Amino acid sequence: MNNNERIWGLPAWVLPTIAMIVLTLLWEAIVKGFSVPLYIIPAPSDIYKASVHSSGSLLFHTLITLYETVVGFAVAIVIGVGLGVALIWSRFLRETFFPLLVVAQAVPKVAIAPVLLITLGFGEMPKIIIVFLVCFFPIVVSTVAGLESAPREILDLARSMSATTVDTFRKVRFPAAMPQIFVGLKVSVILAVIGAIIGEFVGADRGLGFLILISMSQAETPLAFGAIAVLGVASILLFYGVEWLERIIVPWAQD
Amino acid sequence: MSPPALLRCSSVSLTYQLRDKSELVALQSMSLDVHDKEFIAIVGRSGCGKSTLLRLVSGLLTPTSGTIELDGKPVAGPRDDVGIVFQSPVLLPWRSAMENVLLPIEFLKKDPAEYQERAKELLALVGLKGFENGYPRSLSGGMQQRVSISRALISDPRILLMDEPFGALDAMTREELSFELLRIWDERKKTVLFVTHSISEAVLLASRVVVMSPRPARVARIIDINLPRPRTLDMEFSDEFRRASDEIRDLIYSKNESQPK
Repeated sequence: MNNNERIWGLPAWVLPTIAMIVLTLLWEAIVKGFSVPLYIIPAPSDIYKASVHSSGSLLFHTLITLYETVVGFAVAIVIGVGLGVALIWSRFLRETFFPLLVVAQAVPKVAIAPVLLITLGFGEMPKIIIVFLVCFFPIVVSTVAGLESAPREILDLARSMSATTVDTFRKVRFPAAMPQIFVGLKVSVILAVIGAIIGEFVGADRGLGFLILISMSQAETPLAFGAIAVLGVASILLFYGVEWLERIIVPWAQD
Repeated sequence: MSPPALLRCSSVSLTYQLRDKSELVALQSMSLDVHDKEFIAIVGRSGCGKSTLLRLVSGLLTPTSGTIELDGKPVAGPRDDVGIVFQSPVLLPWRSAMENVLLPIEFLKKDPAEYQERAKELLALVGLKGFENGYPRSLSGGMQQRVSISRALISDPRILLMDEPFGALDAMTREELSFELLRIWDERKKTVLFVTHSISEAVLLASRVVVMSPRPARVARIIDINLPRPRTLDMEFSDEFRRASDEIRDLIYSKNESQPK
């Protein structure tokens, strides 16, 4: 567990960065060396050029996708954590709805996307709902698991002191659940981006998913790759955003 | 004679209904009188209902038959004049030592601000002066258990229920904390019910040792420990210590082993 001893005394980011640079150069060399056509596989330099050239539209579509992702994710947090609390609170709710949740989760969200599009139209709303649907389940499950992880002795202590249910949740169960809830959030923030792209693939006139499809159909492969790269960066930033929040909200869960 | 008992268990039985409709007798016809300011140890093998007894006294469980009276009033449901110390400290990691000690006060819907001084004083009592704002992960296992003793004392309970409180500690910390517990018991004049599976710990600390026999769990015998107070470690070499320990050991091992089912 001792991460303080680094290979050759280098900071953690140095080796992966070097590896990435080497791989990118290798890619560039192979594509240029074998004269692979631009529309089949573009070299990193081509992707960069195309992205800079279309930076305005790239930014526009990125903001659309980010908007869908963040709103859907936020709604999933509010409803997911809320439902998790309700399921622990009431045995009736738990026994009634938990099986339904599992069934709902078993349905592939990709299959629902076209249906939602017909019901809700072309705008951002169906994408937000798909994001919500993919994020929702991991958040509920991790919330339930977290709330149940509160030490039994403390719950006994609360009961022996006739503590109110609200106090027990507020002072013990909920804070105890936080580390687990964040595990769910970290899983689902990545799923959120996937959900938004699925929605855009099925039918959209903007967003990075749309940009990828339209560039490919017009043989503008470098721009499609550029959009994919931006998507990757956005996912990573969102993930680290959640991790940053975790460090602030649950500082005791470190190490 | 002696004043009326603080805690009186009269033929207390607890039977669990298992899922297949069979019954598990966790405690059978247990009778025990504990006097005010007495230090009682309860020993027995695992699964002999020691912890069940504590849960009954704290009101977390209700006996199937028999009665438990604390201070002349029957125990019905949870009550706030008992303090509980568990085997592990179970401190909340997001609360400082001080805030952990004040947790029961918050559960009881009292104003924690009024208990700040008392919490501080209790932490000093267990030797944690200056650690009030420390968080559990910066405290050693022994220190954490000290905090949990303070937490049990914060509501000024009549009776302190301790469920193998030092069982998870290393031998040296264990000895150290045992004698500190005796000092606290003497200073605060509390009644202590101390569950342990260490025979020597029971004899060294308690005035009376309740030996329990397993399955169905009941009191095998209650043994008076006639060692003078204050107790010291070298009493482990006294004749009385050896006599009591041997008697308990006989009760726990040989006798029950040969008992037909």
